[in-house]
Amino acid sequence: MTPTLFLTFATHVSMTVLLLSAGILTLRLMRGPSAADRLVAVDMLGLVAAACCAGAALLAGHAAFLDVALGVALVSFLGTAAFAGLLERAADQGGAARLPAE
Amino acid sequence: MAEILAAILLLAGSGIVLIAAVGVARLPDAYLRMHAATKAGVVGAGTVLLGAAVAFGSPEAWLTVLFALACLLLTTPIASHLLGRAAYVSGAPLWHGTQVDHLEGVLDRRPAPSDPIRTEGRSTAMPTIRDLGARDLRRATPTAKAPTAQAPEATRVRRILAVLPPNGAGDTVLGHAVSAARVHGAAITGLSVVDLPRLAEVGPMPVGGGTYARMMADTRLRRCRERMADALERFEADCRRFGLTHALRHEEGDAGALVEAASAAHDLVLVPATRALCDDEAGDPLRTALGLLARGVRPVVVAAGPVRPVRRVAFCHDGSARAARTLSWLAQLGPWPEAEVRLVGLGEPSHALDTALSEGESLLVAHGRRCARGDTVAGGEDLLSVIAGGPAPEVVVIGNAGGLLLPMRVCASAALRALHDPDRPVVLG
Repeated sequence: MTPTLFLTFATHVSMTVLLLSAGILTLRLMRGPSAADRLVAVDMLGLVAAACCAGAALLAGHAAFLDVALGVALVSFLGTAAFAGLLERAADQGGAARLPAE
Repeated sequence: MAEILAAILLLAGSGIVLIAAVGVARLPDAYLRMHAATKAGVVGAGTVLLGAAVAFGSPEAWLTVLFALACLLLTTPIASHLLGRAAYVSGAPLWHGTQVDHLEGVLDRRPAPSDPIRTEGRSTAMPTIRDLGARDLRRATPTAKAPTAQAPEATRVRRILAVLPPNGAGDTVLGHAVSAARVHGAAITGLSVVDLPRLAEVGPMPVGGGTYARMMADTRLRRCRERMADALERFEADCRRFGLTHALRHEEGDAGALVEAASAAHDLVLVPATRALCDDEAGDPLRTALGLLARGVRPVVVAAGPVRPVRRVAFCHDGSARAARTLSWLAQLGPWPEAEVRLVGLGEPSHALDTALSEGESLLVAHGRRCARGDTVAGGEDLLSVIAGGPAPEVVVIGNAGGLLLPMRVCASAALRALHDPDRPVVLG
């Protein structure tokens, strides 16, 4: 097996594994049970998405996809921070505050 | 060469991500899940990104990847901190094996529904519980902070929940519940539960065995209902005989959830010492109670042995906040108002444990309970000998049974089981 072929193989395998992880996380996202659990799953999904972008860059042979990974990593932080703030505010206002409907 | 290095980095990174994802799926509470997601997640994703950079090898790719990595490393700690804080404040439940809660009293925790959509669905399914003014008494009393300096509140046992099993143990539960109700003049609720998920379970079936399995399950269900009807009848007859205020309830479904829901409106929960409700197989006698404990129903009284006047209560205090809460429940509610409470320290002798014991002592005295200081012992077996050593107590209270849960599963299973004397009720806190 040539090194290039090995790299292609490894890329495919790691993409599959990443997708599997995303599937597991989606399961947690759906099951909850608390909003915090879902938030953890979403946060981790952001990381998996960044890793998937790196894999996509390799599959496409285009380094441009790495910029997407950078963007995803940044945005996922903002998303997590915003959701955490929302959760905290909702708790502060007692049971009356509702998270936006699903 | 670079290709092979890149391939190894990719494989390793995705493997770590997979481990993190499994952690998020399998760990027991939101905080532990967050710990898996953030740390392992960043390492995994970062390694995959590095692999991509190595594979491309161009300066632009390296620059982008290093920048992305720096962002990840900078933002993830902040994100996970925010996440953990939000989870705690919004009242995401802690795992029942949690020993220390450092944020208790530091952050304002709202055990309000952290997931309103789901919680609403659940409470509409059981409107009766909500109508009862659910979660007022039992939850409010033990979670109150140990009021050492405060004036003692006049709390007493007003409502007792007796979970009736279908077999002979039901008479024991009944006897204890009735005697407690007579002592306190309390109302008593008899709850008979048919554990549908458990009864529907028939185990592995050979091909073509489906019909027979269904027949078997139906028979079991019918028999269980008949016995439950019997148990309820006996319960009613006993309550009538002693002129007690009583209510009957029959529920079918997931036994643990049903008992948990019913327990909210009661001060004292009595369960039988059986492996499972609706089942008379031999087995771990504390299992039903431990299952409830894992759901956050505590303290639970495991009814066992003959009904005797309770003069001595042994309280095992391991110095944890949970045990202190159980003790304050015991002091405020006074399920056995006349009994002398002997405090037994559990664990390595330390200053913290000593302080906890003295605090407990003064709390008991402040509520007008009689109190004695026992020895401090290291483990379950020693505890047994200390309990057996003095004048034998009629009731043993384990302050922090959740703390014993983990070691029990791992090594000291015999110790906790031995603690459960078939002739003596045990209270798990």
